[in-house]
Amino acid sequence: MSNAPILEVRDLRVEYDTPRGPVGAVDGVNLDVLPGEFVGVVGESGCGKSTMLFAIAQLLSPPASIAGGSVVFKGQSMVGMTEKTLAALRWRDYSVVMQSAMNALNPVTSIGAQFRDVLRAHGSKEDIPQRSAEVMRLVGIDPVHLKSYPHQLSGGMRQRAMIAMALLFTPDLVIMDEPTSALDVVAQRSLMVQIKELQQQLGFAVIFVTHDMSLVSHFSEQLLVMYAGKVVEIGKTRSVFDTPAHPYSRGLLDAFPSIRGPRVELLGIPGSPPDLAKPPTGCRFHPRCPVVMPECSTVEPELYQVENARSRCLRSSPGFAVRTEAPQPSEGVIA
Amino acid sequence: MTVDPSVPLIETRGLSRHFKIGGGFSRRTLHAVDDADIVIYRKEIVALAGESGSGKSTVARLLARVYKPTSGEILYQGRSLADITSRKESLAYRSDVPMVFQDPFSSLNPAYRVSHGIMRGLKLHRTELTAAQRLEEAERVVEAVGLTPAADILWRYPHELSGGQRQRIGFAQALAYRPKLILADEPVSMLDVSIRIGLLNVMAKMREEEGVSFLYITHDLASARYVADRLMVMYAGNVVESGPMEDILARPKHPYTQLLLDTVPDPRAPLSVTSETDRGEPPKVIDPTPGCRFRFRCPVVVDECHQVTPTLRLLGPDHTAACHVATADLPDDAAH
Amino acid sequence: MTAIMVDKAVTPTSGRAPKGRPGGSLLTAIRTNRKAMVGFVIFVFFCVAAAVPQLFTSVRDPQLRAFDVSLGSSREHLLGTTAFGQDVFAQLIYGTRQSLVIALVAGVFATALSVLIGVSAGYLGGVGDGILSLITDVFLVIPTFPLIIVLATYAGKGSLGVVIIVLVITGWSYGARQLRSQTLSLRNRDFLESARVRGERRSYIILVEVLPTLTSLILASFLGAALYAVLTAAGLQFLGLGDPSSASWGTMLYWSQSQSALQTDQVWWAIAPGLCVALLGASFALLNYAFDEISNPALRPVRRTRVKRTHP
Repeated sequence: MSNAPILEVRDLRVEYDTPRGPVGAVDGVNLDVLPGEFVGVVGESGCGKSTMLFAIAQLLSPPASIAGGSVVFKGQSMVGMTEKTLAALRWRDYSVVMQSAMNALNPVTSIGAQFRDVLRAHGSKEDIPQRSAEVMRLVGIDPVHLKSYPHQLSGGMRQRAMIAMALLFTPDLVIMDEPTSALDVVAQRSLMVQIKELQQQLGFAVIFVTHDMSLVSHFSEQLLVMYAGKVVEIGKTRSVFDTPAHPYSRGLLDAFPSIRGPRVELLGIPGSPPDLAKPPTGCRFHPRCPVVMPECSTVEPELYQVENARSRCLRSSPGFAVRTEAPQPSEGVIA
Repeated sequence: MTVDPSVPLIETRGLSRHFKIGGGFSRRTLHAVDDADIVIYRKEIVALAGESGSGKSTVARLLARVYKPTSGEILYQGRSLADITSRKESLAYRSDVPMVFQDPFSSLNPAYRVSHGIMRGLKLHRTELTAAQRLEEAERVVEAVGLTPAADILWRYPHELSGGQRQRIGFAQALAYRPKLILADEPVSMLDVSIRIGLLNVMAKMREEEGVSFLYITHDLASARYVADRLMVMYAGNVVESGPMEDILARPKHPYTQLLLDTVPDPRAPLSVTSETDRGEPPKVIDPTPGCRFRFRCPVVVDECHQVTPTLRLLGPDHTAACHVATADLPDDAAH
Repeated sequence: MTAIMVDKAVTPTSGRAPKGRPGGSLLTAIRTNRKAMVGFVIFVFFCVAAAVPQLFTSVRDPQLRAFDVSLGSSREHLLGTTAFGQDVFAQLIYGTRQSLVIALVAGVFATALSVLIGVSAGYLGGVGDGILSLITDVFLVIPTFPLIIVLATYAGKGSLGVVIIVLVITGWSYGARQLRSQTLSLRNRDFLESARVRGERRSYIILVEVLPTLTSLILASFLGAALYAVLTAAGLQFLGLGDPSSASWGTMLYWSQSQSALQTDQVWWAIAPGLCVALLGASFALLNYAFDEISNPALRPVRRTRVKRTHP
């Protein structure tokens, strides 16, 4: 298996046309996805993660549009591709799992009929009932449910049916937009384990978008943390979890009350995400940052390399004092 | 009116709620809640945990008098709710026991400013206030839940606020009644994880400063632990374990509690994935037969579980569980 | 448990005056929507014609047979004269009043009935819903035109009031169905349950909590009912079931048809009233588009200011 990435995103920018002028929802995202890699994208609501996902999948519709950058999938540039060429790729080479199965599945047709539609629409030569039953078994649902309607299945089963649908053509990349947010914790855990098992079995890459870091902590190899349209930290998952470089990542991690250990009062991340029409100057996180410095409001940080990750924080820039784990007032001067 | 503080605020005995399902000729009943014994005292936060379909939301609605119990009774400060008949008494109860809802996107009427619900509530339940005092009180409760400036926020429309802000308004609405107990039905489940802490802190603050009790319904044990003193675990309509929070977390007796503990999201802890990760779901309990309702998912099931329905038995100070395996060492008399 | 919707986080805006909801300022909304603007202009024109017909024509009594018969169009008689020597244009202008009154009055009453029955059916559920829905469905299914003809004939020719009553009876059921459906979908929203748990009475909930969320649908219903009234009234009058001596577009159609206006080259007398009916009806339909778009932003036409730029 080659080590060339199957997906290369460079400087991706997405804008929304609003009466007040264009608003940048995604601002300069770079991402490489290797074959079979599980990439997690984490951030609060409104940070642009879902928009970025739709941009990669070429699913944006007006007033949103790709304003710049490139998306190269398996050597082909996706941005600006005609609908016809895209249609050939869709579902065969990459597929999408949406946030809520009840919104994505047609409520008036059976699951089996929807699978059939997908198989036919993308020109499958295989035996339809056989393939449908196969994918259902893959996700752990008895194929007898092909006759069921979405409302007859439980929430967890519906989501698994969505995943089965995404795997009909064994694509190389599956894009998932918060597929577990409508489920409770037990079902979430079971779904995540399932996805990971399928990934290891079939070898597809996954881009998984969520606001809940814990979901991807154990399953992803690469992790992106997004804030206000920008990537603020990116690197190996374990690295970001064990030693988060960016104060926002640290804040997200700290938002989880622990079930073991002493009960401490947590603060979460006070304040709310900025209005993307008028983002803060300098570092976009600086109004909410617990370790903000004076220069943060004027200098826009780049992504600086920090061991196994990159962090968009002036404290991580080269020449800054040694990065510590606990927030501390600045000690050195940026060279 | 002085109330004996040792009398619990809410006590339910054998509370059950069934629904008739199917067409007009079918005789099937769905057992949403069966035989629930729940106690809530003043100034405490009690967590009611379980998956979807466990009956926890139905319990909240029974306590909020949206449904009438099919059997069993609910005692509020010693008086049965069934005795409340006049509109005046009913309003008085509603003002003492309001509810906060799960979905921030539909819990506020989009046609009105967010002050609407609060002002209506004040008008109905705090009749002693003048119009000017009502406004003052509205501003006070909005600030108490951490939304400032209150005067500005009150005049916004719901779509101008974020999900977290709307949920805080929901709490403010409840707080405006000077309640004794707030029924919070999964108040943070639909919010981003980073915002949940803020609201849980509001709940703890309200308990401390306003002396309000909470019934905190959730499916996430970690958030339950963060904010609650006591825990009740429900499965398929039954309360399966109940007791002080730390006690249960340290020594869970019921296998379902153990399952919930295992699935708690904790990014720092190593993943405990057993080869048989639970894929089950809580059953819809329709015309149930005797036997433990967890038996199909239970890793330690024995024969007795299929024949006899377990009842809650005391296993430690104030700590009860309904499991044959857990109570195997106890003598056979039915203790509570 | 339902899915989390992507929440557009909002930063606190300063100042006391909030932005307000779409639909809160109807006039701005109409102004920005082209279709609505056209409809609005037409509607205003007809209102002015109905209120001050003297602005448009020097004739004081359009029914008076003051002129030579069957004249073609000329500077004195813009659209010619009728077979009885009446000025066609004057009749058209004065006739606006009746058509407008019928449209608005019948529209209002039909909508009021729709709201009363539809919303109650949707909210009450159970037996109440069953009964009200049955009534609605019966009226919906009755063939309207034959019913109208029967009622109008039975009530005797003429009175404007009869026409309006007939229109209301036949026009309310469609809107009631729509309102019932919408109410049903709202019924289990948390804010209504919140009102119930608060201890509000049912009548309060329907009037204060449910109705305001239905305003755009109610307005659309009204416009639909008004449109229906205009067209059907003209039809009734054309059949001779209105008051043949009154000045209205429908009766103009009646007379022009009975006097074979088209065959005798009095083209305008035959066509102009029909055109006016169509125009007034169109103005309601266009205004309806605006309300749709106001209440459902997804329907708004995208005003693209830039072409999508992509990097090669």
